[in-house]
Amino acid sequence: MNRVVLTGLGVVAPNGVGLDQFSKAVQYGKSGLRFFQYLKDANMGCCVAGVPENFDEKILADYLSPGAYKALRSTTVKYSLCATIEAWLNAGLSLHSNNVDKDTGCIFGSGVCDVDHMQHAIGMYDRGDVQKLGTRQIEQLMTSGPASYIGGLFGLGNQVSANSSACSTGTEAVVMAFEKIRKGQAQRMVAGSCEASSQYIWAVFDAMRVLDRNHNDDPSSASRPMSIDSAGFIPGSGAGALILENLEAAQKRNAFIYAEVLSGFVNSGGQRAGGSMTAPSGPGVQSCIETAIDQAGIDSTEIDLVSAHLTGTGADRMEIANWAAALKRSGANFPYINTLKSLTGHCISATGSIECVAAILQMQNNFLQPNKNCEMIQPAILDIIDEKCIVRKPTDVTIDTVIKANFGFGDVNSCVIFRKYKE
Amino acid sequence: MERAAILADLKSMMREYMSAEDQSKLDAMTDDTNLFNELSIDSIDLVDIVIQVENRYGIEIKNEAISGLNTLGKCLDAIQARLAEKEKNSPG
Repeated sequence: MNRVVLTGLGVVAPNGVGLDQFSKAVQYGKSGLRFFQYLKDANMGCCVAGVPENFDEKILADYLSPGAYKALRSTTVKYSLCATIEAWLNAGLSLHSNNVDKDTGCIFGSGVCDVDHMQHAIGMYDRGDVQKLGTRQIEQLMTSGPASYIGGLFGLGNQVSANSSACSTGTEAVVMAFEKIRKGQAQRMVAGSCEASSQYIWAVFDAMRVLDRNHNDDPSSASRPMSIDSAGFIPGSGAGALILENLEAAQKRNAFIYAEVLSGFVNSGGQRAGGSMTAPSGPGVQSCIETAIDQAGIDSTEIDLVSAHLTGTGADRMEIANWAAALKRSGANFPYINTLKSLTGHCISATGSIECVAAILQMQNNFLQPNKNCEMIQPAILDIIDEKCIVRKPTDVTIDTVIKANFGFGDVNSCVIFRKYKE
Repeated sequence: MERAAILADLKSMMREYMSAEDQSKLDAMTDDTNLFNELSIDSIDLVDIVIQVENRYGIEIKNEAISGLNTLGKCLDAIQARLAEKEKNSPG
């Protein structure tokens, strides 16, 4: 089996567009959550969301044909392309090749398409304007739209497809890309995920009463994972992109190596044993984490940081109980744990890839992202792990190994383990 | 409608689908200029341009005719032919 390393990162997140901005935001706990009047006008209970600010799509005019750029509306495609172009250049790879690269592929997932864009198309249909829709609607609405744009941009000749597993999508894409390279089926893969900035997506979660409604007047405090008064998550949007590569191929071109991917695993709890469409099964989650650790060939005591899913809903305590059971570590023996969602909200299908980027940046630069808005931690969580594991201030600490997991509707799980690269 | 006027309209519509470099070639275009090989227009762009033409002139270009519109001259011929049909069929 091949060793797999990470050589490029790119990100479009609510609290930072591009690696420089994002890295600083993660390190110092900058929130990207804002109040939106149009959500209030639509009678949403939650009027706060995470939308990438100062996102400049004009860069895409340099990469797309004039016709494609003119017709581009979907934020899933825009975010995905910008994050991936950054990751590609960050990896030191070249652009504008006329050749097909059979050794490189892409797995870029999403949860639902850009529903705002879908609404635009449906509106034209309803007005009888089908013939004015133009030719570039389906490529932006299909689930594989972002992957297809990326494949075309870089001439990718290996697998180019989209995965979809709700909030597990992003980390699952990384695991799938890892497997592809590990087995020698590809030399290099773009892995990532995206979620549109769409009020129509957020509305269905609001109707489920799983979004926080108590902090519309104080957006940066609205996302409160692990807090004693957490009352739901805050929806977000964006995209993350990672370049995974066969170690030999990366070394051959003297690429900078961010980290080695030690292992990755994906499973489902089967919507049994406490699991359901919306709730993760404890045994399923634990099995996913345990298998990833087992396949990495490490002991759980080697893990320095848990990059958790933790959304700010009632499931936070159960997630920590699952981590403790799977790692067989609790109290003061538990590793550091944090969740990016206190800063970005829950970017749904984009969350895994954005959080993987955040986890790698923390490990590379030896800092811990502070958990924001959990001044008072739920006592039930403190019954499982020690308070010192949950840092709430920017903290410098050596991180050699990080474990990252995400869990999604449908009772689906994904887990990946990154380690600082050593020869 | 005069061919020169249609040509001016068409160039204006095509401009949006062309790279800056190709836009500079617009004035030198002839009836034989190939849209796909000589300009940065692809088959999908052509359909979008056809849709704009249809909306602009209130005509319909048949789907099966679109792929044959590979030169500026053929585009102008098709538009003029459909405009002539429209005029012939209009009441009074």
